Amino acid sequence: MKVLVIEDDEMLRSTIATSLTAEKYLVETADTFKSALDKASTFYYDCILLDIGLPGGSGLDILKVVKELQLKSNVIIISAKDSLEDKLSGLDLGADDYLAKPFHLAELNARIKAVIRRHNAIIHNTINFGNLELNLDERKFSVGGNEVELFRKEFDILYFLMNNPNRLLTKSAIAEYTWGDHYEDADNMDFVYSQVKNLRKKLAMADADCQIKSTYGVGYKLCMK
Amino acid sequence: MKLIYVTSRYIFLTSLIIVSIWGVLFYYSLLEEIYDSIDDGLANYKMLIIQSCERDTTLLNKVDFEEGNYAIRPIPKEMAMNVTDIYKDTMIYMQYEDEIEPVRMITTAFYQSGRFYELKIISTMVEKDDLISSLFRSVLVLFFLLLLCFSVINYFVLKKTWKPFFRLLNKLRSYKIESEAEPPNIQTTISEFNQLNESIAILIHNARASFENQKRFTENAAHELQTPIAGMIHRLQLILENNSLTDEVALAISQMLKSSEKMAKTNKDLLLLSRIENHQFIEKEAVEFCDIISACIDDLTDFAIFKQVEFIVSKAGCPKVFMNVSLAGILVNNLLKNALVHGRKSQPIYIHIDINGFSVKNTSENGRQLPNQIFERFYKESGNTGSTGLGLAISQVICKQNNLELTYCFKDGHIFSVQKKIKKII
Repeated sequence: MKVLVIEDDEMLRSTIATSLTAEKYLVETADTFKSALDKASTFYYDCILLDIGLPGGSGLDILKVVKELQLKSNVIIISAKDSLEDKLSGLDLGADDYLAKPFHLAELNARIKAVIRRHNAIIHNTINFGNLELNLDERKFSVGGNEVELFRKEFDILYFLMNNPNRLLTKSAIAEYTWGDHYEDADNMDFVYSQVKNLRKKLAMADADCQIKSTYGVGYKLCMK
Repeated sequence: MKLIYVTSRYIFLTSLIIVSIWGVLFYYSLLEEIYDSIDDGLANYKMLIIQSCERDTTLLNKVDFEEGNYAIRPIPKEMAMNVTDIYKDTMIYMQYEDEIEPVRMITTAFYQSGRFYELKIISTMVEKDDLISSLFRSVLVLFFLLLLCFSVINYFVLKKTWKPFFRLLNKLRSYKIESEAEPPNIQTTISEFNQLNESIAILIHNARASFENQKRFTENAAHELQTPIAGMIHRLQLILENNSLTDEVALAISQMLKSSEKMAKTNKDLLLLSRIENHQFIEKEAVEFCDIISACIDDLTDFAIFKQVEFIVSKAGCPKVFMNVSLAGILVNNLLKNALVHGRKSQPIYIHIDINGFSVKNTSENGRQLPNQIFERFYKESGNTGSTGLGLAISQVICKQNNLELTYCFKDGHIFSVQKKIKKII
């Protein structure tokens, strides 16, 4: 799958590219308005990550062109502005999602997957890893076909982990993902810890063939046993 | 001290000094006049008595004052030659007043029929202490009359001439620099007040310019920081995902990551704060706070279960506020989250909603009143290092801009209350 990263900041562009390449995406990058417009208006991408403030023009204009040409590329706006107008006008113009900088790479990954999944209009909207299955429409979780009850935040955390398997997710990334913008304190970390502890218990009880590994003080990783 | 008291005090002091100096001077000049006229009378009397003695020698035998006011006694020639007219004050017993009274006495000598005589004539005199006390009384009356006149004049003059000043003062008192309103201005013909007017206008203009500048600076700075911080965080995340890291290195990097994220979060909150202050949340609608609160409680349920905290809601109405819906969400979330984070384990959080607003009450580890600075930016209760210290400041700004009032009080627990501001009828 092809992803176009339009971002003028060199560090940000390269880290996003590295992270997405590791997720087996085919990554192309553009750092100016002109080169971005050239690429975005010529080729189809499964997902375009679009920065709004670009040297030479606004990312929103690129979005307009992509939508006018009916290229069907999914667009996720990544903006440092985090302002409501940008978000609203971006979504009005047909962007599929909006992510404010700074974000966690794992979250970006989850968002890209979600956008592509939505785009492909899979009837059974599920995510699988090992013998785990997450049904997104009904918010149900099963291990090897047997349903397991999950609390809402447990579901969210598991969804985040299953979207980023074999990847070390920091506790704060998980907290931010589950709480949106409003994570702010040590209590959240304890909360994440206790939720993951419960999840582990439930996975073990249901004979899952994968596990949540923890790296002390850092975070968690979902991987096969 | 009020202006009127200050001027009155000066008037009081100066008139006191002037009137007392005047009183003393008046006393002495009056006394001198009196002596002068008494002495003149005595001198005249002396001439008359000496003439009378020439005609009637029996008078020369009057050695005591008794019923008269003079006494004559013979003296030797040597003594008489040394006598000059001497005026002096002396005391004499007065039957009428039954006490010893001061009198003015002239002592002189004269020659008649080959003999020398000494003549003493007395004249009653004003009593000095009586004079002083009556003078003091009239001076005091004069002083108070003067004071009264001055005060009345002062009051009316102040009221009249300073009227524009007080009008300006009133306008300034209710003026807010962040409002877009024109700077206070008054119409007056007094040039000093016109100068004041102009100076204030310039001052406000400059202050507002730097205020705007400051606001924009905060926003721009926060904005410019977002991208490099994001880059740093991503780089650290990528390093962390590298499987070959030892636990120690991973921990160190995750700590760096944590600091960077804290930085990003603070930055984000600052940006949010300045965007709210800059009125960038334009879209407004009638927000039902009941819905927002129940949605927020819903969202926090898992966290509440984890902290073994129960939300107890009492509803006596539902406030409806015309404001931005995401700001309403942030406000409610901040207050509820605040109560959850700072509240004690397994102690319920009480939420009371009525038609004018809502309040959130929680118990805390240290059951004491918090200082008023809690609403200040970056205020933190020690021990909570994870917080950016901007949550309550953001809530406060949201309330201020939407005609709500956020207050804190301590009554068996910390109570944060959001109430609609009742518009005062002016």
